[in-house]
Amino acid sequence: MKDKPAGRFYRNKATLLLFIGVLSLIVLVGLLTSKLAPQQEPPLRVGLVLYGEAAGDNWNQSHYQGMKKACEEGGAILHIEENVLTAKDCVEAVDRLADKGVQVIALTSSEYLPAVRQMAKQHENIQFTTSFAEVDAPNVAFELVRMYSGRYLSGILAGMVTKTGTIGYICSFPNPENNRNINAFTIGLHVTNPEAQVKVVWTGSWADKEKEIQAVNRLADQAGVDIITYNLDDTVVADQCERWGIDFIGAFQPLPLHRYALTSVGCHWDVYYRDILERYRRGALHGERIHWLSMRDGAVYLTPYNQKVEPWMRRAVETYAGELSGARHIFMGPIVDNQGNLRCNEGEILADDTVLHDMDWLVKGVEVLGE
Amino acid sequence: MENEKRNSRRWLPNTYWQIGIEIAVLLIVLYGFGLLLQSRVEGLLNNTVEVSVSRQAADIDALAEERFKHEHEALHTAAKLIVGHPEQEQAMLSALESETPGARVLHIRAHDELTQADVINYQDYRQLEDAFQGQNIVDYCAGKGLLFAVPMRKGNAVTGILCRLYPESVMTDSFTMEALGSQARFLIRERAGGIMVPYRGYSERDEKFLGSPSVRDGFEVLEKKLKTNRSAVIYVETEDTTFSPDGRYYLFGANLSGTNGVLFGFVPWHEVAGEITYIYQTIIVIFYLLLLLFAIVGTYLFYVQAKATESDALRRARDEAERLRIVAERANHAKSDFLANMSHEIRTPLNSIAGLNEMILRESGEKGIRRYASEVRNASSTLMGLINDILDFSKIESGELQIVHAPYQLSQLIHEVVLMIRPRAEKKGLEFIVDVDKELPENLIGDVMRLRQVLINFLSNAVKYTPTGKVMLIVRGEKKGGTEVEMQFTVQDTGIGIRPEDQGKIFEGFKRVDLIRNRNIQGTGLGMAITKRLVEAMQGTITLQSIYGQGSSFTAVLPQQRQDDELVGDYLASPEDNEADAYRPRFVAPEANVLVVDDNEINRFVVANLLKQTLVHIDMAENGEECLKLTRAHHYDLVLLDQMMPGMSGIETLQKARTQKGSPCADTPFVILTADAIAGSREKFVAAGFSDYLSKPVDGRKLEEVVEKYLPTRLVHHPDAES
Repeated sequence: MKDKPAGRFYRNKATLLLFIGVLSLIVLVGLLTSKLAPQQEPPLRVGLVLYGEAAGDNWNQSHYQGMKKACEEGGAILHIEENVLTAKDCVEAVDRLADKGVQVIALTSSEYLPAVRQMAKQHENIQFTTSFAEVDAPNVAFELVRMYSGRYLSGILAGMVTKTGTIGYICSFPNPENNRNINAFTIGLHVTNPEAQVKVVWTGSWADKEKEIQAVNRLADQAGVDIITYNLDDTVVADQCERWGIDFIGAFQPLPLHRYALTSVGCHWDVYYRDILERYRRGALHGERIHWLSMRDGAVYLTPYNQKVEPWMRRAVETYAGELSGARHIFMGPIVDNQGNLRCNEGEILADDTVLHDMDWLVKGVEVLGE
Repeated sequence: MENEKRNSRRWLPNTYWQIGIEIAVLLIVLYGFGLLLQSRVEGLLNNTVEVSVSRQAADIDALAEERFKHEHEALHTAAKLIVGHPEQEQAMLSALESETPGARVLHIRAHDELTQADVINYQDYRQLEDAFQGQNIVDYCAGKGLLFAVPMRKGNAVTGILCRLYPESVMTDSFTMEALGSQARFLIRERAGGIMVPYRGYSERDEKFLGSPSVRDGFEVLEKKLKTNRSAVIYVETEDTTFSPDGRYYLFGANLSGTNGVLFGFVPWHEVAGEITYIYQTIIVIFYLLLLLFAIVGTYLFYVQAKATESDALRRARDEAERLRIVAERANHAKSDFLANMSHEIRTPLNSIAGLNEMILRESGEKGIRRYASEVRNASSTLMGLINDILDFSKIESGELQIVHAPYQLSQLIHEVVLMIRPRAEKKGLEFIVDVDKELPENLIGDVMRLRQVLINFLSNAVKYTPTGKVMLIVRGEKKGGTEVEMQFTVQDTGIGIRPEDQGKIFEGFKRVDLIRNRNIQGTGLGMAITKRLVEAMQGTITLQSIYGQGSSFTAVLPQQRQDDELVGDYLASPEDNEADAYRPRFVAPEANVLVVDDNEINRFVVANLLKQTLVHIDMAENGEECLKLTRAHHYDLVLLDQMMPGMSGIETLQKARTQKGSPCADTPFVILTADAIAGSREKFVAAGFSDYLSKPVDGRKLEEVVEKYLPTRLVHHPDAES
């Protein structure tokens, strides 16, 4: 009789205690996890607006690959908008990206330029980068690559390789970018071959297969060029040169399968984008208007040479490349354009903004082949 | 109340133990909570402080930017002037230099060859080429210092750069930033490199501090964070108490945007977060107070519940006990009723046997038959004795036994006892000695019946278990205060004795000891058990002394009351005649009329025959009704009335008879015949109006005695002598 009441007493007690124990455990676990714990920073969301398709040609593909690599390395999430052809399309694309919580958007086509200011104002919290123009807005940064330094070096190379002393250059249309590339190339050419000439053909578009093939044919047949180079979005010229067996210098990406590619002026877009993301995170991007990435940053490079480029040529190119990070400036005076105007005095260097915006001329030694 | 207290004292240790464990567990759990809470709160507060310091570090960065911008502006202004007025160059440069003593100001032309030997060259200051291309730069080179450079513009071309170089020693002076109290220290480092630039007053002591493992590791972590953040803070604990008494610091860092430099710094923990300890200490104190309160309330609640359950249990226990008691009582009642019935049921046929046998003994002339009848008498009296024993024992065990105190004579008691035992002893050839103290009082008050039972038991046992030698009855007494006398009855024998280990068992019921040796001796084994209880019931004690093989001595000591001072005197142990030879009636009363009332025919017959030789005239009645009829009609000198009768009982009949008007038996003595031999009966019957009672089975001698006693004297004639 002594046991029974005690037993019941104990059983009720035990259940109650167990209940309290379990409850406390739940509360404890709840307290320890989540809510009160300092929040993990959410990953960075990045947007990329492409004119073409990510899996498409030259330009778009390389941008996509570069951005993708940079995002992966930086632990950021990438959202892309493809086939955005006009400025209006761009606005809509940007809106869509903004809805996904994107914090940085890279615009890669000059087609969008008219809408950039409007978009910047509309999405003040988003950092925009362009690769084509400077925009007067605190959240738009013009990120440039000194492509022309690569051109310069390829010019030096061409000067050594050429037998005919005439180089063909196929471009879309005259604008500061193309001009400075041509100029840099020619200036480099003249370092190793002061008498060499550059013949330029404008195709009128960044990617026009017909025109480009025509241009190659024309340059090869009539102009007497023995090296061709180009500044276009696609690889049609490269393929055509390959077919004709003409030495050429590629653009933007390596062309290992082309036997006639002396080299290619490549652009490490992942370096470019990595730099952008890093500086964004550091807060250095805000308020920045222009930023150049140059060869010394690893953004521009020359792809491996083919057999035609002999060892002494390579050494020479390397020497000049070294000098670039020093006293040698590409656009150092005296520079005379092909109209005979003095564009840069002796002992002076063309400022970056001039190079960027104001090069509406071509240096002496460049001839444009008209229609 | 006392009982409860005693009970609860037995309860409490158990419950207290339980409560104790529960409280201990609770406290441990809550203490654990407390610890967790403490670390949590501390962590949170540290985080908050970290964030705050981080922001301040970011502010330093902004501050630095401002300073740099200011620097560039100054240089830019100077550059513009120089470009516009080349002749002012020298003056300008001097002015700039004097503005910032210790810093060098240089104008480098675009076509100047800068070799590695120069302080300012392209290898050490990688951003220099950007300056030549039109950018304002800030660049740092370990060992050389901080370089600011602006392009000198002429139209769209850059003709050269204007730069100011702050050597390391001057750097900190020019760029000291006050923040986070005076205890904070700042250093500047190259982002990529690991070389520190000291702050003002940097010494070996500082170098040791910065080189210590935890600080170094802390800076490494900061570096990593700064790759993706504008500023960062980390909390470190070191052994080094150079700057902080408890070795706790915040390390922070900020990117100097626009440069390749990073600002690092440290501040003692207590300077930033010192006050915070008070916050969390307060929280902890409050928490533990609540804890205590909770513990107290919890304890109280547990205790209350424990008490409640206790009294529940007690109540239940009590109810159970009560229930059991009632059950036991009922069982007891049932048993008593059973015993009473059994008593009557058993004695009635035995009565018949004894009575009829007596008649055979008296009437048969043949010696042989008389011998048989004698044996039958022995057997039936043994049987009666056994049954009495059993019934007695049952009565005793169910607490039914009552000791009745009445006056008696000591000599008569001894006489009766001796009368019973002497023949048996002499038959076995044993010497029977009676030793009674002459000084003992004669008239005593006590339960003579039970006392007799005790003595007879002792003596018959002694006789039974003594093959040769003697049996002694020794009676002694001691006067105690008042009328009390302590009587001592001892029976000693030279019998087989009792083994020491068996001596205790003797007094337990149903046990016979030394079974092998005593297998020829009859008995239920109840005798001594009953005797002991009887003695104890009479407030006495029993003792036993025995030596195995030599003999035993049983002593009963019990108090009796003295009626007067008459002494017992010389006890004459006169041998009485052996009754077995022949029966002679004590008296004759031919003129007497006696009425015998009994529902049992045989009983009537027996009584009648027992009295035949007394020549009284006997009438019979079957029941109360008939008795009344007869007593109304005739005069009887004595009525012998059975108690247990259907219809009216003996008592009822008597009452009716006494109230009968004009009955010729109004004064007639009534004697009750009852098988009901429960103590206190005599009183009961006397109170009811009977003159005496006779217990069944009716003993012939006793019957004669009673009849002789209550018949009118003139009717009683004694055969030998005329009284």
